[in-house]
Amino acid sequence: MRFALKDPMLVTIRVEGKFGAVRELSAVIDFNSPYCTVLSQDAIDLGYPEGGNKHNERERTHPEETPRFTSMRGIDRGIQVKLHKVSVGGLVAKNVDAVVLELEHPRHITFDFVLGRSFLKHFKLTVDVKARYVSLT
Amino acid sequence: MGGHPFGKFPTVFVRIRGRNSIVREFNALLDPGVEYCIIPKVDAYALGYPEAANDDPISPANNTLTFTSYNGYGKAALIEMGHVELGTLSFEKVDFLAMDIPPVTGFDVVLGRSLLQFMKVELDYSVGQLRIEDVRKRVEA
Repeated sequence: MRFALKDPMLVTIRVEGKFGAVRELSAVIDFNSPYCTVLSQDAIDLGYPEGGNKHNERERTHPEETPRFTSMRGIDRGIQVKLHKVSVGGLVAKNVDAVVLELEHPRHITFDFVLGRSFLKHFKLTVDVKARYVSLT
Repeated sequence: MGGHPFGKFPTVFVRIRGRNSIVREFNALLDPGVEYCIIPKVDAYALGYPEAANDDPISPANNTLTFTSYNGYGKAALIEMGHVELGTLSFEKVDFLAMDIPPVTGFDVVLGRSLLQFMKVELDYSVGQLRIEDVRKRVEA
């Protein structure tokens, strides 16, 4: 599947959570984020009410569900959830690890989801900046 | 460069020559999501770009660029690196932003689209293989 190279690299995705809850979201492809990232309101809507908690509160009762990971911001922490299905067009990945994280992004960045390596690990990604495309196979 | 294995992150070693002809080697992260390459201020300074060390908000360097990231707005000096070598590939005059990268990430510099525009990059996350093709001489159809 081929996308035009944009900045930021936004695509529309379909996320299926618990009990068949589905949301279509605007996602940014982050080639080096270890996890996918979902915002807390979407996590709750998808059937993960624990996403409404603060990660330090969640860590007291479920330390295994609040992983620490490195990003360009330093060490981040979030509440881990397993999304039933994430699809971009015809490309589908099941049981995708994601973290619930509130990003301090400026208002003009219009994405609801970060597609990280927990999704990309199922695919081969080709980036050709000169020909202005990104492909996932 | 074909079939270069990578672990957690797609990283490669690069050799960078600055304005003062000093050469340094770095562990570099490939990130097609970033517009410019990034080098820490202290390394930019050592490679002959003193404007990278200018933190004065009243009189910033002329080549200061404002950018957006997950963290909001930021400012950094935009510098033109003399020479970048990556395996057998070499590139002249590549734009870099001089800004600090959190040490916890484990890599020294980030190679963004200001360099990746000269390459076709294949990242096979399923097997952890990286392949880079030089496209500078490619003729577009």
